[in-house]
Amino acid sequence: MISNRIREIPFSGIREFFELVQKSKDVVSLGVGEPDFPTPEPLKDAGIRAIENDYTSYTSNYGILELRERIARKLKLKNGIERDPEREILITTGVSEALDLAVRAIVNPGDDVLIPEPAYVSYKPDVWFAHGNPVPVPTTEENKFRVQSEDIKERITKKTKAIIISSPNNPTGAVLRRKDLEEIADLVIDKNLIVISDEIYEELIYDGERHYSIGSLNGMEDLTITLNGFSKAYAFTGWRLGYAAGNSEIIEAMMKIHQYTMLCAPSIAQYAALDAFDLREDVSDMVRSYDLRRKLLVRGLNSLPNISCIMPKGAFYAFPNIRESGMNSEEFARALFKEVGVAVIPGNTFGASGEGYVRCSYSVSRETISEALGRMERFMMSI
Amino acid sequence: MSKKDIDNEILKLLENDARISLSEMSTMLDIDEEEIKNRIDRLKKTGIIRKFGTSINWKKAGEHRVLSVIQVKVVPQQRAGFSKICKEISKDSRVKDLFVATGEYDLILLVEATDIDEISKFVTEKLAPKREVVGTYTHIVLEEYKRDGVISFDDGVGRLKISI
Repeated sequence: MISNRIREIPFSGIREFFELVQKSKDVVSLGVGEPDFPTPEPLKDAGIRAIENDYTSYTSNYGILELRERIARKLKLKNGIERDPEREILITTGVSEALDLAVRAIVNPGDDVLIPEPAYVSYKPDVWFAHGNPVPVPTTEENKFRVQSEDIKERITKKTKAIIISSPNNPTGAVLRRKDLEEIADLVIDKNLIVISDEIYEELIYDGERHYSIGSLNGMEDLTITLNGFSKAYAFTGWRLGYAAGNSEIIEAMMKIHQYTMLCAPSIAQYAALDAFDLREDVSDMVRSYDLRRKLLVRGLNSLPNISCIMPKGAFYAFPNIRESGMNSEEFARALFKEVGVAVIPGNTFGASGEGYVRCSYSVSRETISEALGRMERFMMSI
Repeated sequence: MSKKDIDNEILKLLENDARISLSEMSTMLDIDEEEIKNRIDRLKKTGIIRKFGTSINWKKAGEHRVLSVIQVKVVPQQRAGFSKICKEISKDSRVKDLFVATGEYDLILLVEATDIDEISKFVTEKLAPKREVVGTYTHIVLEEYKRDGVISFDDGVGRLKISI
């Protein structure tokens, strides 16, 4: 009944383990991948007003122009990217959709797409959906999980079409520096590749690090598809709203797929997000709150026997090394849940180079972090 | 960070949970425990921290208390204005909050008592006899949905325990 292609694509993560956790009543979960704040009140109110005013019909395939204009302004001011709101910005149903569209718009069957790993789980399947070959580029703890340009270079062949980067990174929290991006850009320009840059965690950055958009670098304007959205900075996950920005040829191609598969992003979410970029204070309060919990979790993890964890610079994940436990990451996650009821995500969920690590989210309350650390200490002492 | 900013960071953490440990605060704020302790002592001494208390759902604990919102109309007194009567009323242990506000009534009180009779006594014996008081309007609280910034109900809405 099911097509061979789809049958061959695995589910994300260990399905039966995740379902067990999902159903568990008293689990202390560090497995969450979304903000633990509610959507800011002004955006909720704007959503309600959108419904009341009957802004509930289809919108332009590209998304409402007013929102595209605001996104264009934001991209210019914050990211140094200049895009025409009329033809170079596409509003999508979350970054997830934008990513799928970007890959399908540019990948021919048999093309290689480089993916620095550990990486978000949908990059690889999106390439498969497009009949391309995902080529992992492992990153290492020694390099703070920042992808090294020589590792990319080594894997570039005639078949290489694109590279998908994400900074700040889920699951490692790594933030690429300007120099990293410049090195990648040199390769991309030299080999005439395309970069798909997933910047959904851009606002969540700490320790004075800065977010740079590779699309703003010289010569990268037409070789970059910049993806971003509202989910992480504005606690907007369930509204499903993202966007893509790139040259008009690529954006038009993406719009073609979007037109047939999604038609348009949810109208209510689009209207609700119009004033999102004005909420500077809400965002900085959230970032500060994550920052405090980040220190609590990472320093706590480092005080546990046989666990070490580098300080992540962005997103809301810590990616501790658990090799000294003698278990692989899946065994570790299962045992930790079974023995002390703490849920974490095995690192290999995000690619082979995540083996030996687990992802712990600090988008949870301080009490949850403290409770989890206490339980993890008991667990580490017992093994 | 300026001195005041650090104090406010400490206050925000304590406002959310007065039981947060010094070591947790020290880890989160990058300040040593001794300094945090000194700052908290000073904040307490200067009255910026009013008290360390606990927000309790007494109904769940099986103890019934009656909460009322009482509006009071007052004739301001020469020289003292509202302050004399406000101070007097504040001393009553049943008065949990007292505000001077705009509107038809001048004072708004939150009064907690063991039963309605006690509220009645408070109004008739404490408030009404006062010379300055020219009117009261008592609201008995029927149900509580949010108190001290905490919702008192479980709406069953939650995030997924696992999401990637």
